[in-house]
Amino acid sequence: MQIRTQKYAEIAYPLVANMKVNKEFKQTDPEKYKRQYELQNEYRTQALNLPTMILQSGLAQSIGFLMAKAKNDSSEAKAKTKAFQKLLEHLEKLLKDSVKPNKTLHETILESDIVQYQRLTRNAIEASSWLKRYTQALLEKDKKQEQNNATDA
Amino acid sequence: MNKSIFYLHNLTALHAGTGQGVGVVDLPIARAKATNLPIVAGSSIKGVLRDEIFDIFVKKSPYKEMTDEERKQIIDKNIINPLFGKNENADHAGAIAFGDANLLILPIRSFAGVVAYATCPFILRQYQRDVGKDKKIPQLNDNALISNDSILLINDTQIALEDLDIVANKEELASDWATDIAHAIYPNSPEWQDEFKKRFVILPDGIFSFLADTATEIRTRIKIDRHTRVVQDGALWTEENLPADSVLWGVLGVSQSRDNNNKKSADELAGLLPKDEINLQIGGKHTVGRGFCRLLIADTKEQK
Repeated sequence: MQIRTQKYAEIAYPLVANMKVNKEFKQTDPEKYKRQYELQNEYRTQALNLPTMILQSGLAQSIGFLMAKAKNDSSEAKAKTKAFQKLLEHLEKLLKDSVKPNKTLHETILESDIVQYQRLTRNAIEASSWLKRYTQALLEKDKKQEQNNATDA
Repeated sequence: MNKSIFYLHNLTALHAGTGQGVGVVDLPIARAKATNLPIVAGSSIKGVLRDEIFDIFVKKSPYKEMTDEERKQIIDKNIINPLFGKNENADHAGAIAFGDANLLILPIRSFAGVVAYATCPFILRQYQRDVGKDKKIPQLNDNALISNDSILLINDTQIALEDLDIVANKEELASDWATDIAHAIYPNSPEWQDEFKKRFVILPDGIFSFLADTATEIRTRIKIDRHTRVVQDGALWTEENLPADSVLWGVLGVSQSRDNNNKKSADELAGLLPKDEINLQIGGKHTVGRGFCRLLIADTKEQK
């Protein structure tokens, strides 16, 4: 048996760890390093903001916002768009037990009655708090110096 | 022990915090562990009241006519120390026992009437136990109760609070509770009592507890670097506040004086507490306007 937050933490940790830029690419593949670095920074900004957004604006609104920002099917998608896609994907993975079978998180939210909606909101706040916490722990802050190096490389 | 009820009504957003948080908000407000409902710790109120009572007595006769040094000594000796305990060289405890203030009324955005003053049966039951009343506690399923002269309805049957449309029934019981609470927090102002009653709503427990979790006020703050005029590195944080116009209640006990050199009965000491409303600043962030409150100590009742 596991406590609920532990379950979220267990899923969230590898997801966030995967967002961390691989420093080896700095030498071997500077282009890739730059892309990863931008993605990490964008993800960091949005992940830190997510729990507060859900709390203040509501769950349906926040998921709608993530979907709108993540919308871009082309392979040329910018780092910012990709970061939103990742974040939405991570939240869906975390909440997979709350999502109805064969439905997306968004569909589940829309179909929920008030009790289910409140429960989903609380779970989403808890789950996204883990994304925030591990982001703070694992993803370094954007340092101007380092970014310049990345661009120069 | 002499027991009375106090009411805390915050006129601006109130941040009675916990120092730090690991959750959603960087600086959350204090909440009761078991219910997760907002509270203001008794210790926060006691300290502020100690200061305030001193200021009240300084302006009164015969202390008014004394020199600064003289009246400080006498007020401390006769009033402050027996009530609150000594600041230094403590050889006795204070006679006052401050309970935590619990949330009674939470203001919630309403489509009609601008704001609704909400509570729930769970809270009313606890409140009733402390106040010693014998009123009926409403039984709610999914519906809310509003007072007879309510202005919250958006059509014949519904009210719209935050994102929720809820069926609401006008009932005498709600009016009755509204009248009672309005009288307690606005004892001298029939106009304010009316305004309160018109916006009073009793929500189902589940909905209320959800709103108490998610409908508090979150403010994002930053610190600007003085030279560059941009945000300092890492200086962005969020603070949670209890929205302005919330009401909390708590229990306040006064025993006989524990000072052997200054014997006073519980009634005598309780009599020293101000009967009129007091304006206090409670909680953190006072330089940005948080926590201006009215404190009302209701008439004392002897409890054996």
